Amino acid sequence: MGATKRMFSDSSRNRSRTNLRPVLFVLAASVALFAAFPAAAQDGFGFDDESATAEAPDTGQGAGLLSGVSVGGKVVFDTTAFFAAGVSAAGDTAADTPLSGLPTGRLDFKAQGASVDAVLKLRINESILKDSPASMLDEASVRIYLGKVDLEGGLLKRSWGKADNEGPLDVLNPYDRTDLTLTEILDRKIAQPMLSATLALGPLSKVEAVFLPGFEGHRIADSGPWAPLALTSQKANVYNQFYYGANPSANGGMGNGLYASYYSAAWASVYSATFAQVAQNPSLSTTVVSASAAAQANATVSAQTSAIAAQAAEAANGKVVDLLDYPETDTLEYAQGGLRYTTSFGGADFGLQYFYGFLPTPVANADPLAFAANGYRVPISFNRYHQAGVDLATVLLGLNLRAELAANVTEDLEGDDPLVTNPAIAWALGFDVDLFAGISLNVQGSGSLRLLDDKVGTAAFDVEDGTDALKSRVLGTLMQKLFKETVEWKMTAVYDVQDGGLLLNPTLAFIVGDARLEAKAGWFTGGKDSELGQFADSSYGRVSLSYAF
Amino acid sequence: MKRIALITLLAANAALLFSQNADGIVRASRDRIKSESISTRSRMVITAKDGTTTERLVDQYAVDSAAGTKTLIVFKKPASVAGTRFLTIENPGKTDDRWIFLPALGKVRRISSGEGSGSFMGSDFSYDDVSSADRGVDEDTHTLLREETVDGKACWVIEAKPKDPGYQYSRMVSWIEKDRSIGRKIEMFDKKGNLLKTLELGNIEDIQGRLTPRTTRMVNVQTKTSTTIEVEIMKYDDVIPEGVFTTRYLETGRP
Repeated sequence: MGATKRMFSDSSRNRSRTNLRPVLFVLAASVALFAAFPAAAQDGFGFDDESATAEAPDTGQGAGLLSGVSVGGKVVFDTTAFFAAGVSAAGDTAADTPLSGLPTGRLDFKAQGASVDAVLKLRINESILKDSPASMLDEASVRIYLGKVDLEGGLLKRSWGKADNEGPLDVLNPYDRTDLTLTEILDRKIAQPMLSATLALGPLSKVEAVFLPGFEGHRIADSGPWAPLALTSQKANVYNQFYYGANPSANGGMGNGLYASYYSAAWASVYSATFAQVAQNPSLSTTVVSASAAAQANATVSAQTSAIAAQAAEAANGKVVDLLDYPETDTLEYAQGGLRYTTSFGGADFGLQYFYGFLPTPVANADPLAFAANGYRVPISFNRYHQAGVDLATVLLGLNLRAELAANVTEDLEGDDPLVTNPAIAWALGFDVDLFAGISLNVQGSGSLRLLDDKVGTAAFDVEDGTDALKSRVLGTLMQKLFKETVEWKMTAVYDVQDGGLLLNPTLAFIVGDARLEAKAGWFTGGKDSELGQFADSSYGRVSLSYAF
Repeated sequence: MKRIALITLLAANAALLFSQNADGIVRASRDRIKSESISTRSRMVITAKDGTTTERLVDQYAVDSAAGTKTLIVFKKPASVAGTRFLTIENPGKTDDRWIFLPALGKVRRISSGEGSGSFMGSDFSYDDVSSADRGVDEDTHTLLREETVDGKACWVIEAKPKDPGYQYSRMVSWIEKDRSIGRKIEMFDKKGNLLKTLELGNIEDIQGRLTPRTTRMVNVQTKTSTTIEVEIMKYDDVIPEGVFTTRYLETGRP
């Protein structure tokens, strides 16, 4: 389930081969690094040292003697069709449905020493190599075992809380919202640099301290199918300004933007040439020549329409993206930290945590004076907050229950700071159960309630003005595995209660050993102003073929 | 020393219950192997109706203690499930604690202890089949039916009828060697009384002084599918660190 792009052409394949050089270098370096670890014995139990099995080292971190470096990974090829986008334009048919697809590979290296583990996980595809090579490094970490204490540092994805899907206590990693076809939670998480120390307090209890030297918010697409509507509509406005100019009715409806400029240039070029002909041959009719020149100018501009549109779109993209002035957050000013204690007793698991960090959703200052004072760029900021939370997991009446409750205390304790979101209570409550015939059901309700809501909007340009104080989302998944787990179907529904947005994700998969052929769709619906409905034009269907090794 | 659950032996002991004469036979069979701990590496081959096969490689560690049996299962293959770990801590008189670590989720989850008749890892074994060694003797009514020979060995044939009408089988018939008390075969019947599955145990070897079946084959005669479990490695009384049976181990793979 990697990102999607077009299929390789010969030229792109050549380009990718060139770009693979840094990848190969990283691979070689990582293998060399791991080779330096001794293949030391660990605890003297288990089977990983047994020659009788003759199995290659697995990536499952099985018990037993350690065996140096293990390599695992996955290769995926998928192709995605965005139905709504293809058929929405006038004259388009189903045959015009945009397709995208490309192979994605991931390589996981793991090395184990007597008291140390090292992990390196790489993701590779054309999009990453071309647009964001830094994203190739998915995770990289070292964990040292010192008796009851584990020290771990690196680029990590770490899960806090009990909820299966984006619970309020899962605060350490932001989410990648640039590809909403990613449905596995670890695929959506963005690894962060962090250092953690975990102290075991018995077989089922531990306390964990985590320090993150910097901060990153949720990653949001600024173009493409998953760009938020607020951004794309702003781009559309700016596009029109470039295309038609500030006065669209000028010049007989051509406006005074790029289109008019092209027309003017074409007209001047053709007209001057034709009048030169008239000057040389006075017998020519000026009217006829003018009509001919106008026709040629029209034809020239018509042929250049795509180029004009592309130029306007590029200018609008750059302008809008440049308008957003994000702060530098990879500094100690944005350091974060937290403590989490977990234990089990009486048939239940409990967690208690405190976190001091930043809310991952950016806040935009809409005050025109601030916009002007900031060099005509919109100041973006992130809100500091304290979080205290508890969670619980237990089994009741055959249901595997999970619950989280958090208090998110921002620095707006009066509730009237327009640029700081109010304190809020957040929660998640869910369960899963096996129904019948191998069908399982997983349900999670989550949401938040803004406190001091009566103070919202009392100051101008309050970022929460006009938004719901209560937000709640219900997610349900039905799944069944058939024919010895060689066939699997799944239907996931996500419903936002307040704005009515809905997402349906049906999946059908055929599993042959370690290979998987999967057909999947994402159907977004609801009002254009709803969180999910805004992506109605990005509803998609996908077929993928993958092999895990 | 208490009996310890073991995937490859569980099914052999499944559904053995007693009337008075049958009780002693079944009890002798179930208590035949005693060990402080058992470690196994098993290869499970699942055969579909069309003859295609898929494989699982599973390690299992179990220890017995005064507080109950602790069992850890580690999925080694296929790659799509490698790294998945199950931990079960038995709580005598109370519901067992069970957790699973799923690499795709990145965290430990508590799960319910009863999956009942659902398929275990996509095999022809149900969860109840796998845990049948822990099934109480008085949960079924046993009847000694007859004597027969299996693979040249004289066997008792004993019928077990569950007292709980909600149990997945209406009755089970077991073949137990008369001289060695080794279970060799079980037939399981569905709620309608039709034969549903047949379990056969073979390749019996002396492992550390215990006669142990290395091959277990479950056939679903209705779906015409089968699952064969081959115990590749087995160790009795191996020293297993206590830290293996912890939620920390589930997360890190380190005791």
